[in-house]
Amino acid sequence: MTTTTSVEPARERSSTRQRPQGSRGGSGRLRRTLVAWAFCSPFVLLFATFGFWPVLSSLSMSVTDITSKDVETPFSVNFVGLENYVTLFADPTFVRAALNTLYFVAVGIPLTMVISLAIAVALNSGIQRAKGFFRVAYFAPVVTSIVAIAVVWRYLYKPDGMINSALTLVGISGPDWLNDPNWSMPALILMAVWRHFGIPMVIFLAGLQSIPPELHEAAVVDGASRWRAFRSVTLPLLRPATLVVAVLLSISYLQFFEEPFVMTSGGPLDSTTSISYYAYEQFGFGNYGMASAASYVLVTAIALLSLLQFRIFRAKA
Amino acid sequence: MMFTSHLSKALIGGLTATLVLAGCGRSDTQRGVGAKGAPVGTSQAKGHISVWAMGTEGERLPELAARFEKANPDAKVQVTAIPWQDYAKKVETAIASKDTPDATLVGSADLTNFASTGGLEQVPTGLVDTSSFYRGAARSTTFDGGTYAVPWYVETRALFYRKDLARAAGVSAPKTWQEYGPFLKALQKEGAKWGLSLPTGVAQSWQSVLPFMWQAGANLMNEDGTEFTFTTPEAREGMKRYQSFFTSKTASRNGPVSLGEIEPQFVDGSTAALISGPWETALLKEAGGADFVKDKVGVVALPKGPKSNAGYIGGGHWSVFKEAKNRDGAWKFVRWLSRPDVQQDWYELSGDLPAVQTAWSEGKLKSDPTLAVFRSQLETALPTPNVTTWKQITAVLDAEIEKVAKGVSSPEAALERVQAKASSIGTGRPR
Amino acid sequence: MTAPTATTGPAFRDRRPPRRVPTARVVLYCALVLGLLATLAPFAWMFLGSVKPTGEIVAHPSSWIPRSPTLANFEQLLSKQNFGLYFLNSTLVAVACVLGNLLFCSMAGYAFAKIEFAGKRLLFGLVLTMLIIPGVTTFVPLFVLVSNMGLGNSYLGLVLPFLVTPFGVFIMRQFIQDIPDALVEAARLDGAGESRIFLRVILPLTQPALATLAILTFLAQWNNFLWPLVVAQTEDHYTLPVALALFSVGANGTNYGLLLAGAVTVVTPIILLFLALQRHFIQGIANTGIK
Repeated sequence: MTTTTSVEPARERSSTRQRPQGSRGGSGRLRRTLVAWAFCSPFVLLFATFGFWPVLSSLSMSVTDITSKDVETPFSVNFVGLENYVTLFADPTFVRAALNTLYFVAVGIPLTMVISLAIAVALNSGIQRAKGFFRVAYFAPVVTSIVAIAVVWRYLYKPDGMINSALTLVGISGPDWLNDPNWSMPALILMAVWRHFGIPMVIFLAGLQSIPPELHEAAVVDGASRWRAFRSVTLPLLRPATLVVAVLLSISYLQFFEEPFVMTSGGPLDSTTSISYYAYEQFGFGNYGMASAASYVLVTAIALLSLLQFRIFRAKA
Repeated sequence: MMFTSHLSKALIGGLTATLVLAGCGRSDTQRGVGAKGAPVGTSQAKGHISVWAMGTEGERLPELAARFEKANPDAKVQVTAIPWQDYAKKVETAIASKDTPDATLVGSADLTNFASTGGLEQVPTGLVDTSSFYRGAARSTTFDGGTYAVPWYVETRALFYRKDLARAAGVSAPKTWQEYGPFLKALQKEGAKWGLSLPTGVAQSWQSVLPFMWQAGANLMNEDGTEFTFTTPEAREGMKRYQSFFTSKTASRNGPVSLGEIEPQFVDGSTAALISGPWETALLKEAGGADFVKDKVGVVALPKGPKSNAGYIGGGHWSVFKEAKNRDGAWKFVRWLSRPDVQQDWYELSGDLPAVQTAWSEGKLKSDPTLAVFRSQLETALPTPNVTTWKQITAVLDAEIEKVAKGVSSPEAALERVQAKASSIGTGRPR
Repeated sequence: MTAPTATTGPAFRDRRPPRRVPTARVVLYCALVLGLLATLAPFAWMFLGSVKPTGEIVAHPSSWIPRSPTLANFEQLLSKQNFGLYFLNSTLVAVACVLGNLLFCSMAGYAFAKIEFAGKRLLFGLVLTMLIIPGVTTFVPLFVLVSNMGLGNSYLGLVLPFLVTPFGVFIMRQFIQDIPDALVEAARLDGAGESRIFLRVILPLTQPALATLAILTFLAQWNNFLWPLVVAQTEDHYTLPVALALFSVGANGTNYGLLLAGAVTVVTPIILLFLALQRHFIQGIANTGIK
């Protein structure tokens, strides 16, 4: 939408971008590099210390047997190679955590995308009255602190809580959500969708608004049903927005942590424990090596999934 | 300057990998033994004494500390209140960064862990008389032959039940395991949905389940404390007893998840009994009123199993850090806190039960019938095994307890898994 | 970068006349309202619950409307707990992080976008990589680092790790890249130094991006929980979410009234801020997404 249009003039000149300075030769380049690094220096300093360094050291921790008791003497730990990783995959709790994370991602991401796209389409379908109000209200869960709202959700999920009361109205007797190993994960997915759909909704809405309505209408005039027009005209044009949403959601959903942390402590019967939660627990036990190894399994998963999504959406675009 | 030296230290600290790969390894020297300092004199305490205390204890302690300051005019006690939740991480961080207060309150189950970091000083010889404390409390202050803390208060659990329902059913409180089940069933017949509330896998469930094993006569470690023994017939019998409350539908398979959840159910009569500590009376008063507690709540010692009616003893100890700036003052404060008269004052202020046995010889501590129940329970109560890995083992226990409670595992299989995992976690000591 | 608001886009002027499909319109509104009710129900329950006495909150069966409304929970929150201080801490930490991100990330973003220099590709590659590193990966070493630096339990320890974010640099670089090079080069030819160009040319043009970054950073820090939980060791450094999590759960009981009042206290300021700046919030997120 607006930003994309204003991008164009800038892109035209990218071929000439380097010329004036490049012609000044070596000393100019050195000066430029110095100036640039000066601009970057506060960021680089902080980023190297608090961002990059911890990444390197957690990678190295993941191949040692470091524990909380070695914090003062981090040199006298043993190199254990991939032993932590082997132990991880031999631990049924970790395997369960990995499967749960997969479950959460596989159900949560499509669900969030469908719901946020549906609301975005509804808001974009020509209604005008209260549109701004709807948009703001639907976005409200995004800004909410999960610690604060968790207590409310625990109440909503009680056997005689609000959700089951609402279900009774339509003749369904709801489960004991958080105590039933089969329903605890759906309960957390629902809560995660509630917390997360606002951002994709806004991104989809922006994407929809950048599509000229004439395109859609032309298709309808040509005799396509509205659903077909949506599928064959709107959806393909939404591909860039979809890619962004998919990548954003996979990064945050693969880190699945806060919901089990505040709602279920990973239970009942490990049904809501996740890789992040497992890593956090190992940290709590002081097993820093294991915690780091678990988190690198997660890094790998995020990297792979992001790559996959870029492949899928880029290839078709 | 401080900052840069810290920074370089931190950066060096993170270099683990490079050096480890270059062949550095764990040295075999045993770490984690705190030094034993010089004896502490009897003169008045002096100077600034900074201490950490958690929860309600942290809120109430300044009042008690003011009395210490009155007796030691040159001393100033600064109390920092921190919450119980996650306090262990804070203590560990303080030790790791060598930036500690002088002394801290320590939960009895965590002491071994802190002592093993080497950040605590051993209790100086002759500071207190160890035999004056409840045995279970004193036992949980030791680690690898050293004593690292002074017991302050103790807590243990007893059986709270609805007296009115028992009266209506014509049954009296159970004294043995044989009477336990029928008693609870009788209360259920009087309208309670559940006879007893038991935790079913939430954190700390083990505190309620291990006593069943102890009552059956189980020891959870071998004689010299080098190996876990969770698969003995006695441990199995205890776990089966725990399971029996669920199979007989006496207790809900979905026990309370959060604190404060059970009191309303006990008040409205849907749960007829629960196992809790001395603090429960105050919570029930809040939920049901003083008359409810007076007329309808009975408190008795835990029913006796084949061996004993041992419960779990928890509580708070005081430890002094190796990096303490006012080590003498801190120990004098700790010594003062364990004086019988101060222990009585503290009971008045906080309701915490004194760890010193002679403190129970006067006033309400002596005469109150409910307190007498807890007192008798304290005589036999047992602490957790003294291993630094206990916290991790409790997580395994809680997970397996949940499987038994929810009926997805037999007690035997659950204990087999506890044993296997506990053995691989180890005791934290070099083997 | 002139960003017209979403509601006035061309899509709306060309919309189909509403009268032609009244039933569809009614169904649409009904669905939107139903969805809205479901979305806002947890908030309603929180606000209504915060003015109930604890006994009424935990009662069976629970009801939405308070039978005996009271402000006792809030009074207790303000009198017994030091919530003013936690509020101040939260604000301080969030504002410091916002300022740090605005300044440092826009500086770095400018260099990445408009200056060719040695090491740029490598550095920006690292920034991109860090975007996908989950928090739990760096949590442990960061914790070790900060405590070894002696910054445990200090404002610096709370703020420093979040003073710059790879996300901030990424977003600033994207925006600054869209500013025509001609503007920058004209200024260079006029003899302006890079810092002058940055301050006089770039910054004024990146205000929407700065607003987006400010809001997202504030939001993230205001709601940040895990890091302050382990770093803030004593009460005087607690932020609101930490205090809420720790104090509502006593050693032996949960005070639900206090918990809900605390939740209201944490959520309300951010909701108000959001309402005041909602256009920027939503526009900002739309902008990050459309790249």
